[in-house]
Amino acid sequence: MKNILLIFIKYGTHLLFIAFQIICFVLIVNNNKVHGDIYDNTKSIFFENFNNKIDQLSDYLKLDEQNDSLVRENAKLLDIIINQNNTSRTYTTTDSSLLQQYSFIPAEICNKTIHLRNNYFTLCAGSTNGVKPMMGVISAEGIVGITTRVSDHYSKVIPMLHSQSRISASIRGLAFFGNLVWKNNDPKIMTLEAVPKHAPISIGDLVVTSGYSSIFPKDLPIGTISNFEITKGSSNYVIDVKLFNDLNNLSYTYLVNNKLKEEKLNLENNIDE
Amino acid sequence: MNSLVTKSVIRAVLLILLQGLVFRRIAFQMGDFAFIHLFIYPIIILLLPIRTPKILQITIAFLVGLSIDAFYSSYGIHASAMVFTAYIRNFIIKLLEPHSGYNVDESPTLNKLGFSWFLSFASILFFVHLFFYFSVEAFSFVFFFEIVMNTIFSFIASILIVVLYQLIFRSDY
Repeated sequence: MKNILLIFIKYGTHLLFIAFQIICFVLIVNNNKVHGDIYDNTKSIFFENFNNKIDQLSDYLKLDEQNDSLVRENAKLLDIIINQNNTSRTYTTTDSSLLQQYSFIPAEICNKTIHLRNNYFTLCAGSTNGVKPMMGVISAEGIVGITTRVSDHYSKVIPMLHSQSRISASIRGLAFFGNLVWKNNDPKIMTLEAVPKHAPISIGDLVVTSGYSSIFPKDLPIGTISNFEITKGSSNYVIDVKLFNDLNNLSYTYLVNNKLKEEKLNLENNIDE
Repeated sequence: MNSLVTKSVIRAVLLILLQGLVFRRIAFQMGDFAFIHLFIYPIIILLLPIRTPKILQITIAFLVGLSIDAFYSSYGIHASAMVFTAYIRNFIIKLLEPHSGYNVDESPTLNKLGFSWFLSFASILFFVHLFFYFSVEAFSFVFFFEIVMNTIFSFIASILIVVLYQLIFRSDY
């Protein structure tokens, strides 16, 4: 205790100077907008750098593993090439589902609402035509929605323009994906969320379906990026997507029948057991 | 001794009000970049009696800086610069000590220690203060050019005012 007091008497001025400077720094950063912004920015640059370094290191440590998997894949491809070259006449696939994973059911729109917050479409095709719940609905220009309830001759569709619709979408050429939701009441604009802010996107980029949900095939065009921003404090973009599809002016749609959907869902749900 | 404290307090209050109400509103612009700001309040720290305990000096500087900040609505920037100036002041006083030494009960005014001594003392501390202030205000050395220009022009203007002030109030104020 005595020693601490002695130290304070000896270096009191310097300690007080440092203490006051720290108080001033906290005051400046918390109360002045420009200074606070500069501080936050500098901090994030520093930590981003740090995180990048860590990522690079872990990537480097994983190289062995990746190398192994690439070697295995090469072997498999080599195997296929050799098989095809040698036994091209006798090599046939016994599983027909591998030849055509998706089939399409044409359907006409019987009824629709467009200008509500929660819109619904009704299609003139039901279970007699092979329609099931949770099937994707697309049109020639883009995607439309997902079926919910199906009767014998009709089916109800939650279109993209519904406050509860969530469509897994990605940006073409990038593996980043996010949720496409409808926030504003403009039927030509939707919002893509949860794309991380380090994704190199730009205005005009094509937004396509990601194919992760097994409802829509991969790489179906949805629209183009018309605007994007990062909300303060968030690490994700908020991207405005201009749709190719004009749901107002639409009368024919196609329902997507994914033959391997059950298998994929079963496999994925097995994790819970 | 007592009159010295009274003098210092009166000087501090008057100069804070003068800075906050008058000199805050005066700012000249030259061309696109160079702003001349008049800062006279560091004189409060400069003219504290030499014997004032260092801890007290720094505390006074912090409080004066905060009151100036209240006028400028820039919380902490002036206080930070003032604390730094008060911290440096002791080293400068030691550095500039004349052969005959100081009368430690007095304030280091122009009248007591002569024109050239006061000019070098005030110049060093004002330059340090202004440079520190504009650096903290910009908060990033990206704006180094602006910081230096602001410092140089404001320094020239402020030191003129301070020397005039010392020449006018020949007694201890």
